[in-house]
Amino acid sequence: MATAKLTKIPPQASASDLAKREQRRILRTALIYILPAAIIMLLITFWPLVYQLWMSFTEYSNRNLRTSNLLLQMWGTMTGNLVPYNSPPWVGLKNYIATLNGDLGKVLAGFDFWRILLFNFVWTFVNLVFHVGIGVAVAVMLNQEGLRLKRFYRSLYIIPWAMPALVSAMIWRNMFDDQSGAINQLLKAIGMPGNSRWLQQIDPPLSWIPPYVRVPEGANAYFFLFVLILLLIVPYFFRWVRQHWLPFTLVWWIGMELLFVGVLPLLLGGGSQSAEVVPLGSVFPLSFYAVLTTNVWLGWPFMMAIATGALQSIPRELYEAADVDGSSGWYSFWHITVPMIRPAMIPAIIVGMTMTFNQFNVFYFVSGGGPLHQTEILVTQAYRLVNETTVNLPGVGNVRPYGIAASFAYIIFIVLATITLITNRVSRATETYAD
Amino acid sequence: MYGKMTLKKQVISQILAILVLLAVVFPVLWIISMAIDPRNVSRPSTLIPPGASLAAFGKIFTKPTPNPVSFLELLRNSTMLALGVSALTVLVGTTAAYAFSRFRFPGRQAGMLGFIIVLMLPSVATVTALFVMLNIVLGPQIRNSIMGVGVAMIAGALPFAIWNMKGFIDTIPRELEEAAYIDGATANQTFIQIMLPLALPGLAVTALLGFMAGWTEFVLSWQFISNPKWFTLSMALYGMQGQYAANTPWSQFAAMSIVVSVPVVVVFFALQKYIVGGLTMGGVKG
Repeated sequence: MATAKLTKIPPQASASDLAKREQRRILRTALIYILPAAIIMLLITFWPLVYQLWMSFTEYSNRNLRTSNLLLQMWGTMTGNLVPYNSPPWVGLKNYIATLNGDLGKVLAGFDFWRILLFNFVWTFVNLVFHVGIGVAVAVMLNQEGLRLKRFYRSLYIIPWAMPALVSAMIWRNMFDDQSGAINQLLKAIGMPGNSRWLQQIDPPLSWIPPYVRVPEGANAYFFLFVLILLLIVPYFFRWVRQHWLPFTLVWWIGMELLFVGVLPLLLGGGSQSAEVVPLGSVFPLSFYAVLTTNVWLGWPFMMAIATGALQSIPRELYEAADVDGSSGWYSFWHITVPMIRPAMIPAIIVGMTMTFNQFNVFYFVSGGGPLHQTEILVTQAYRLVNETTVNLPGVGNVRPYGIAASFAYIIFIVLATITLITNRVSRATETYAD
Repeated sequence: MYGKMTLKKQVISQILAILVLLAVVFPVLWIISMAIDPRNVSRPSTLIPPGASLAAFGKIFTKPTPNPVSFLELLRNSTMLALGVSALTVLVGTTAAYAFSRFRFPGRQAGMLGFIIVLMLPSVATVTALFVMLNIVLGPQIRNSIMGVGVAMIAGALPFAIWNMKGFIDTIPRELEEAAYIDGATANQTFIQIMLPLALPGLAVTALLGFMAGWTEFVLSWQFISNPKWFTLSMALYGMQGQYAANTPWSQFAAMSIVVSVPVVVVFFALQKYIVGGLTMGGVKG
């Protein structure tokens, strides 16, 4: 009878050893998968950002475009040895300060940083309200059970999104022509006055729109308007405020308005005689509304598409249960539809916000930033800085201020990043609550 | 909205839907009307102009711009740029997107943050740096061609593509890959045989978006290219719009607009199902 010989069992790898090997394997695979993209991006995406950051701290201009070695050029600036690689002189934060305190207005016609920031901000906010409002409304309407021709409508509504923005913007500009653009012709056809000079009228049409700010002469009214708008809008990101929105709105808005019209001039000094009232409506000329119409036409299908997808994942039982409990359509909408589509809409809103904030095409092609630079936003100004402005630098002559443009771009970035971070932080809180 | 579809509701909804449709479609009808109007007016007064003809289309096919470049060359350049950007971002970005989605490695969070940062910076910010860099590294000849523009575009398109595709891949359940792994598949096999077929709609959408971006790009092209033989369709379109409305050949401009838009719109419609589906899938899962 053979007995099995006991053989020596080789030492087994312990669990933690396996785990470590596994970790390393994962790391190695991840690295290989990322490498091609990482190399390319490091070279052409991130490196120019570094170079541009360095540029923003210097007096970079046309002369410095011709250089044989970028790194040595940067080194040349740091060491003060400007000649060999055409290095621009270092100026520290001078470019940034010039932008923020209005010195830039000396070379860039019509530039007023706080006004443009306010304009950009309100532009983004109003656009998003319309995009999401119309998009969700149409999506809900088309989502009705038993509606005919749903697919037909949905596919055609996509057209504004599919068309190149450049083409759409130019078409709309043509339509807003004051003599016989389509808009004015349509108005005439239905008997209304059809001779608004949409893109040229300088006086703001609805200049009485609140809120108001009263500041003594010399103070920048737009800065305070911007702060006021922030104070009026930001609280609604908090759940407590939204739940008690009616009393809060009454108290807060009236209180803030009193503060900015009554108390502010006293705080800033200067007698009330020299203080002027500046309403928000005065910031927006007629062409703003024209560009707004264009961008709303362009942008709502995107939100509709997202909302449609999200709506279709809401189980009908929820609505049925609510109906049995006697809820009206409106109540169901706010308490079932909105919370259920919110997780899908929020990323879309964030993307939409970034795109709208930096929406260059519509402003450049519909209003051209006009009339008289009243509809400029930050990116159109940045473009003009790079392409249409010259600055007289001592010892160099009239050159393009690429250094200032670089600092401007970074300011735009900081603004947008701040808004995104705040929105992200708040929306994440809302999302977990909704779950 | 819940509730039985009554005739009244149907009629009201249809009327509303048609009104929205008119608002959406009107500018398109306008531009078509301008294109077939032989009078070259910037302000057509009726929707079907008298003497409607396709002469404007003929003109743009034979001599699209005052520069010595033919329509076919413009078309070739635009297509090369659009296809190049689209193909490269998808080819290079897919593996990276997969890694960001599936693997946990140090620097992953930083990488994702980096993408979002890049997306927020307007391209006007990096134009100068890329200009200088391309001049030095690739030489002014290449910079002054669509290759230069292509490289500059990829700088922004690649992060977006990776971010987009990661979103798609996030929505694909991991169980399939785990099952494959248990059955002994290597990471590469899992990626090629399981992941790629499932992620195809997402890849298609990303490719489409890259194509659209390349096709309609003209700001970068104007900055980089001065040699007419490398002009693109979008550049020609932009160039047609003269300083003063009176000088612009409106019929040709309208015709060119239509020609530039048609390929994009057609492909968009064809892939519509994927675009909407993909975006919402990514969105719903957060």
